[in-house]
Amino acid sequence: MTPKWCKCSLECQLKKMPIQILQGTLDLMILRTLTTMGPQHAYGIAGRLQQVSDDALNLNQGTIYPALVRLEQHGWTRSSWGRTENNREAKYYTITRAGLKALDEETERWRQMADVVEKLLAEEQ
Amino acid sequence: MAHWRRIVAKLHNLLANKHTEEDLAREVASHLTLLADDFERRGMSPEEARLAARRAYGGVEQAKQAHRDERSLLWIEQTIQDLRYGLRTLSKSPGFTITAVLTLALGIGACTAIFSLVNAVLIRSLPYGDPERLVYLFSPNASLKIPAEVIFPSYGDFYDIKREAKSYADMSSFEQAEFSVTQHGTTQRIGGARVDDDFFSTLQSTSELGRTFAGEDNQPAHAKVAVISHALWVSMFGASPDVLNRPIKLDGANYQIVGVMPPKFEYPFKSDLPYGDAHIESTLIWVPLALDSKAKSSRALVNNVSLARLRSGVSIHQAQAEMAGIMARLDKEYVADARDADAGLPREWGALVESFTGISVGPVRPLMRLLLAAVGLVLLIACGNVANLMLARAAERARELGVRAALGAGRGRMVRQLLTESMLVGVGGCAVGIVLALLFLRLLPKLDPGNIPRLNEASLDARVILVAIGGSLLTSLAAGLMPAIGASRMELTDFLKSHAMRGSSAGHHRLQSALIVAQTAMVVVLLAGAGLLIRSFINVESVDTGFTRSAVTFHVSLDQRYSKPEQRVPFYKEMMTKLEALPGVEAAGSVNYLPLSNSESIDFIWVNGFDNKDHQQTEGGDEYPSGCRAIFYGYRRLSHG
Repeated sequence: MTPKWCKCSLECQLKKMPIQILQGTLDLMILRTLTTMGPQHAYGIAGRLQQVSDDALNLNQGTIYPALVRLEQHGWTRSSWGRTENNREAKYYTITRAGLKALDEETERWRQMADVVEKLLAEEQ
Repeated sequence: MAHWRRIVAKLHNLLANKHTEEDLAREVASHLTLLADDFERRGMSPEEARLAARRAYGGVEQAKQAHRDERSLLWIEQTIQDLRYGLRTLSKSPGFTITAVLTLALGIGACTAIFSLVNAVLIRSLPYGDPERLVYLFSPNASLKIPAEVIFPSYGDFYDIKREAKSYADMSSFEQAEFSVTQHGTTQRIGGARVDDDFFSTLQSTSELGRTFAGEDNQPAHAKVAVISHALWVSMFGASPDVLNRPIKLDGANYQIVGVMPPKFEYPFKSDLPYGDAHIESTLIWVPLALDSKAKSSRALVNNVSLARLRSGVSIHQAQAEMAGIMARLDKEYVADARDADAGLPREWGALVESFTGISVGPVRPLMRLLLAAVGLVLLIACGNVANLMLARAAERARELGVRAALGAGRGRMVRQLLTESMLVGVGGCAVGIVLALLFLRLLPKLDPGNIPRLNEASLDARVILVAIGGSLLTSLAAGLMPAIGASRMELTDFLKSHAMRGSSAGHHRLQSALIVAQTAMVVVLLAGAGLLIRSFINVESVDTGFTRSAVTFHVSLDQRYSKPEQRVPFYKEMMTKLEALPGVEAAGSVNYLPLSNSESIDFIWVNGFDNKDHQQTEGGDEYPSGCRAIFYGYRRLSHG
């Protein structure tokens, strides 16, 4: 997914920039979580992200909602209500076939990006 | 693909908002429960766990808002909000709203009405195929100091051009004629035309009922057939479908009706011809021209009209060059017609090709532009007025706007809100304006000066409505933009410090003054223009035409029973005697063409004892061509000069 830039004032752009960069990355991480863990609810996804990042990714759990909406609207995930082991109701997200394809593409793009950034950083030193 | 799915999903969410909102609340609640469960498992009390879950989750409202922003088309939602809010605030100040809407409506109404007129006269297509390719062929004679568009080629020349010219897809020659139509014992005089076989095909017009002329119709022996106009069909035959093959009596002779033309076809209209018969407003009946072979080869001037349709890709200049070549050759080949030679006219017929639309609507183009410019100014003034009203209102609302800004409304959002309000005013103005335009169009036929073609066809079609809507939206945008930007430019800190009612009044005053200056300037232009027009009108009215104001005129034309002068003279003598015997009639007279009309007969005069050489206009003779009117009995007494 190409990063989209907010077209409002400069001030607004500066404020939103960290989230904007995070956005595509967050989508990728959620898709990846859903492939490794299977259908998962928002809490489960947030917990997994925290666990994997060793709490370095210090985000409020509510922050992942926009990403969840976006993924579902793209047709990359599907959601349905279900029950947890403790018999609590929760909305479960499942990755779709289109989501798997998107994950491949996004992973490839991320690797290329990381590669470029890595090379640039190596040159700097 | 995924992109489109998203847009569809967003639109869907816009409609199914309530359901999505409930779903979201449920999801957040479940999320919080799961979090709390976890904390409890780690040994917290239920109350502590609930609080810890809230902390870990972050702001619930922020999360929900982020969800909303992401899932739906934010701008549509905001627009709906703005519209609701705008309607509410506008209905709270009816004085402002009504004034602004009416001001705009006046401007829009005037513009729409005039544009519908311009649309009917200049833009909407004429019912003659592609009218842009229709041309008239004139043959001006340099020896005659009269307008070039008076004389068309003689029949002999016309048929030579028709044979040789490659520029035209179709060519037609016709003559205007008046007929006395007798029906049910009453006789009326109607405008008509004697036309050749190619007349209707040149105009690319077909009949609504029956047929047009073809084949033998233009043989003199078979020429007693007629095609009638839609209007005549309705007025004389009650639109009866069995009108075909019915007889119609024209100038005492029986003709057979073979076709009816569609409603808008009344060619030639008075304004379709440069110097047409002033007595004929529009053409209601067509009969075959039926020239015999002698007439077809005659090189004498007659009152015919030559109309042609250019082949596609041929320009008027090319056609003109071609015709000039042909006419130059014909001028060498033939000597002047005996009658023309007698009048001192050499065989020097030139060539002039002019577009039909140029002749038909050309003269009224400047008038239409003038009218458009005038109503454009009216609209600008209305726009300025509304802008001023809005500025005043924005100053009053400074407090409200300040509070909204303090609560975190972005500047763009506030400008949008104010613009939405002015758009609402614009929509109201547009609706009322269109009603005003409809009223004006009802009035229009009463204001008909008589020389604007198709004036009565002015109506509000889709194009006019579009222009009205576009115009009003632009106007309201223009009127609302300055006040909106001005109002949103307030300094929040200043506002909060001073609790100001009028945070930015100085800026407003400058803007308002500028608007008033601009408006006043435009009003002065309009008033000066209108004043000059009225003065010209008074001047025209007060020209001494040489006639008493109590003179009334009417038109008499005689049919074939009065073909000889010795029949006509007694008729007019008797008519004058009878007219003068009428109570209240002081004097009666007649003239062949009324003064100040666009028709004139030309003859050649020689004045004894006058230096005619100085005024010699023809190369051959010493005569002096002059506008000339045949007057009869008593005419002099009508003029007081």
